[in-house]
This record gives sequence, structure tokens and C-alpha cells, in this order.
Amino acid sequence: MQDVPRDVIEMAAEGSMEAFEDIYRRTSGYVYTVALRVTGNVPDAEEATQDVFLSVHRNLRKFRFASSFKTWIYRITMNRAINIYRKRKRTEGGRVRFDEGNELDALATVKEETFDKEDNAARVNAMLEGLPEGQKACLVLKDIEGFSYQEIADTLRIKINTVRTRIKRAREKLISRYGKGGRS
Amino acid sequence: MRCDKVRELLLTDYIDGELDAGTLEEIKKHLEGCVSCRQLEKDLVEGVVTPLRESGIKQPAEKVWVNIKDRVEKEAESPLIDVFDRVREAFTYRRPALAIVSLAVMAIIASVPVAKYYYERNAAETYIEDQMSFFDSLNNGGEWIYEDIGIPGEDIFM
Repeated sequence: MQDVPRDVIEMAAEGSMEAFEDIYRRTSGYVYTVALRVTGNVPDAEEATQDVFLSVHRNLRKFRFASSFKTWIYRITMNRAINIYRKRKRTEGGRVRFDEGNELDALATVKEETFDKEDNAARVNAMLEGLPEGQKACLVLKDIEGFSYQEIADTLRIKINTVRTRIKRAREKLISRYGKGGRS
Repeated sequence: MRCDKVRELLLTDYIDGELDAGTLEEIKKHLEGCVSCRQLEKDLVEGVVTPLRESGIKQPAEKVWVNIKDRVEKEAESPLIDVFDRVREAFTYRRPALAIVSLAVMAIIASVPVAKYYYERNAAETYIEDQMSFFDSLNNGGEWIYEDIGIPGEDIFM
């Protein structure tokens, strides 16, 4: 995600709907993708995206440019997506649905041998689902959003060594399940 | 460089491009001569990193923007709309510990008026008891000592 120009943010903060839509068009794909990877399903990702942009709109006036807009919006996204994911887990008794439109089917039960390019999205969600929230958040920002360790630390407000440790543990776990080209 | 150190860096800084040139060169040299570390790199890239990095950015359905725009316009017309969402937003915490601390602070703040009420009631009861003892003492013709200063009561009022 490229950082949104300051004048666009200021115009949106002053009430310009055009400027706010400009922010949405520039950033919504990234917000939605993070939410989708964290929650694991389309309805929750859409709800998270909607909540994030309503929160951004309400708080634009308070944004002081002390941190980058990108970091700020990803922080809101990660918090909202994790909260929705937790709520879903509670209501479903620990079972989370995976139904990324037509793209995903019977995700949790997909055998690793059946993975190919068509269901890479299903595979990615299955991989992330088994990880603790903290590790999942770091890995999504690293591998899907392309953040540096420092950007992840700033976004999640954690130490850079914590980022490194979480990514290492997440990959160790994943490699034991999905290494060797996806076949364990 | 030993295998355990190489493996740690392979899983993090090496694959994420966070290494300095010197360390990167050391690891490349190690990989040339170490089959098991080369296998780890292959498994990591093919099985874990590539699927995640190739999953790409997805766009939300247009209805999401329509809903957002609708809500924003309604909020502009009536600031009280979605007040529940705003309250929820203000009290949403990622860390349970923060929520517990906030509840504790709110409980302390709420207890101040209650504590004040009981303190004042106790002070009033003590005062009334003192007055009753004093008048009892006068009625019975006995000697009343003002406890706080040790002076006989009648001397105070003479």
C-alpha cells in the first residue's frame, strides 16, 4: 500500500466525500485482504472492512501524521479483524468457517495433496488458521503485505525481536505441516 | 556459521531480505556445502513463503463501499446515529489485561461517592453521640470531660 497524500487525508477530515472515497479506493484492497486472511471468510472480512473505514472516517480529524497513515489504518484493521475472528470463534465454539465465495470449499478438511494453484487461497487460509493470532498477524503483514520487520513492529506496537520470534515460530510450524512443496 | 544459526536466519532475516551483505554472503557459502540447510530453504520457499506471497491482494465487493458511504452520510445528518458502534469502538480492547485495568479504574471512580457518603454519615453519628453524652452528663449533674482537650465541660461554657 502506498501512503495516501496528506492533502487527500486533510480534505477527507474536513468532510469531503470525494477525498474519503479516494482514500477508500487506494486502501480498501489491502484492508480487505488483511481482514480476509485473519478472519478466514468473506462476510467477516467485509464487516471488518466496513468497520475499519467507518472508524477511519470518525477519527480522521484526530490523525496527527505522527505515524504513517498506512501504519495507522493497518493497526485499526488488525484490531478489528482479530476482534471479529475471536467473536466468531466464541459463537461457533472454536470452529471457524472458511467460505471465500466460490473460491473456497471445505477448507479445513482439504488434504495437502490436493492443493494446486486454483485453491491457493484455500491453502493460505488453512495455513493461517492453525496459527496463534500474534503469529498470524506478523506473517500476514510480512508475506502478504510485504512489510519490513520495523513496519510490523510499529503497526502492532510490539518489539522488533518479538516480530522476528513470531515469524520464526509461525514458519517452523508451517514448514512441519506444509513444507516439501506442500506435501508433508 | 553453525547450522542452528543458519536455520534461524533462514526462517527470518534471510528469507525476508533483512540481512546485511556480510551475513548474507556467509549464509550463501554455508548453503553451498550443507545439504540439510539447502533442503530447509527449499521447503520454506516452496511450501510456505511462495503460497503466501502469491495469494495477492483481493478487492472487496462494491456493496461494501455503498454501505460505508450510506452510513457516513447518515452519521453526518444525525450525529447520534450509530452511537452504539462509537461506544463499542471506544471500549474495544485487544488485550484483556487492559480491559481489566479499565474496569478496575472505573470501579474505583464509582466507589468514591459511596465511600464519601459513609464517611460523612459516620462523622454525623459520632457528633450526635458526643452531643447526647454531653447533655446526659449535664442532666445527671456529673462531671463531663471534653475528651479531645481534657477540660471539664462546664469550664468550656463558663
